[in-house]
Amino acid sequence: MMCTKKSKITGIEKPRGIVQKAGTKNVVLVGRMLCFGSKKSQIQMFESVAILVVFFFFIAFGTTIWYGAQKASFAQDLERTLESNALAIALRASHAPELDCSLLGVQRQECIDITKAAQFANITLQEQARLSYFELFGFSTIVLHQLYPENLSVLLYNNQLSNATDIHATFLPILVEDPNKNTFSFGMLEVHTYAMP
Amino acid sequence: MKKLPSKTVRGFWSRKAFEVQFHWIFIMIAGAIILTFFITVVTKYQSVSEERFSLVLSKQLETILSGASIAKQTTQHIQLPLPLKTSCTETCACSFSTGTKVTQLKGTSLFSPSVLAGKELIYTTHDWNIPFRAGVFVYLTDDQQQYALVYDPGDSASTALLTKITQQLPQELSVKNISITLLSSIVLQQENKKIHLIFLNTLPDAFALRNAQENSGVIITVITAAGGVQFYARNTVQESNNVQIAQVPIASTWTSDAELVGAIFSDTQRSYACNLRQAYARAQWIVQVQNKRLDALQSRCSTTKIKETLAEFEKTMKVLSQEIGTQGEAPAVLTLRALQHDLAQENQQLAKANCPTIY
Repeated sequence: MMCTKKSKITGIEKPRGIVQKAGTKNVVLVGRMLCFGSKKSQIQMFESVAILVVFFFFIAFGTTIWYGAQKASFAQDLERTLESNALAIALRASHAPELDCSLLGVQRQECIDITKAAQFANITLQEQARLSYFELFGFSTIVLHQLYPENLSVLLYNNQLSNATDIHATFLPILVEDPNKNTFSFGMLEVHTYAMP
Repeated sequence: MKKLPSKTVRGFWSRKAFEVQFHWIFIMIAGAIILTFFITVVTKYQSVSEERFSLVLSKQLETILSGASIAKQTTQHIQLPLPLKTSCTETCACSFSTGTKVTQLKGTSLFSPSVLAGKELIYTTHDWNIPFRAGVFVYLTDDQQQYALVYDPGDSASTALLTKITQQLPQELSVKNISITLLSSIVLQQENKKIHLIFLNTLPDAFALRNAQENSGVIITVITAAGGVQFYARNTVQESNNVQIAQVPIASTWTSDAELVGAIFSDTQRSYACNLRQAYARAQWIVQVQNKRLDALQSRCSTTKIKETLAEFEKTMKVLSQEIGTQGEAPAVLTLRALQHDLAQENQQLAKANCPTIY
């Protein structure tokens, strides 16, 4: 707001509000107050806008921090999900009816029949069988290791993902039965699961 | 003091008044913007939160079902914060959904009503033996489902079936045994409850059919001792220019205890048939493993006959994996029953001769 105006009589720029005739003190004060008031309102307006700007800046800053924290939380959740998935696949493999040890309908827990394992490994080489077992085992590699007394490894299922972003390895101790020799050996089931990108 | 010029005074006070008004308008606009911003953030967060909750719940259920499918004969209760829906498409792609999240059932045979909306979910498992162990069936229900086993006391087959089923069902289930003669005296309509009427070797009477027609919470299933199952569905029936809603039976079969229990928990023929198809598809590979394993067994025992039985078994499994729920089901099931009997006998012979057994 302009605080001066051009006088019509003298043509001189005078502060707004000052009366030509001998003004009273009050008129002068009013004039100055008017000038001062326009600057004051401008300052107040600027303050309000500045407060809002700072407020939204803090909001944006807080949102960025919260977004970063959520991202870390999601990454942790994803990791937990992948681990849970890997364990589920490993447990399905260790309890698969295709591989279990049984005698007259009674199943032995945590046991794999080596003769069944060998035949299962041959069957999963077929494309149709691999597609059928994809629902159960997904992208994973399942290997049966006989550790003691003899060393032997059987690749039960292999469906690797070439561009996997993560690989989880799960190891389960297992008994390995040989019905030909009627013996049990110590073994381990190694399951590698691949996370999709 | 001299009086101030009125024009100046008016000018001064009008500007001040205008400034005050503008100040308040500015405050209101800024306040509205801030409020809108926060409301948008809260609404967005609420929808994301709900979706995340559905996702977490479905993941937990998937883990529980995976664990259940390898457990032996267990029954557990879990809290159910959101309704759970199970369904199978025409191509037998079965899934369950919680909230907005749909999860495919991966290799798990899950028998349950279509909608579970109770506060507590009850799941139980049963080994599927045909006669060798070919999988584990998982059954779901909730505290809103009630089961009534309706039997004919004058029919020995009906009472034998009742005894068999009562032994298979978990004790946590809300199950009542009702004689068919007393059925009409029972109140079938209960708020928020679903009632499964399982007729054992007897047909549903007019009372049951009328209740099922009027109340969608009443579900009728007929199980025969000969191995038949009939799921009654509410369908529209055209009768001489009249369209009526009637209970239409859709037939299926059962051959083992696990399937019998599955028929009780399922409320539609499609979900029952699809789960069995999936189970038989997997059983086909199990039989193939069993058959090829016989060659690897260094046995002095002759395995020719049992290999032929297993070869027939494998073919029947393949047929059943495609024909369950169709007209080709019944003859394949008859063949399966005969093969099961033969296989059981041959396995016993191997055991008696001290040879490695099939199962």
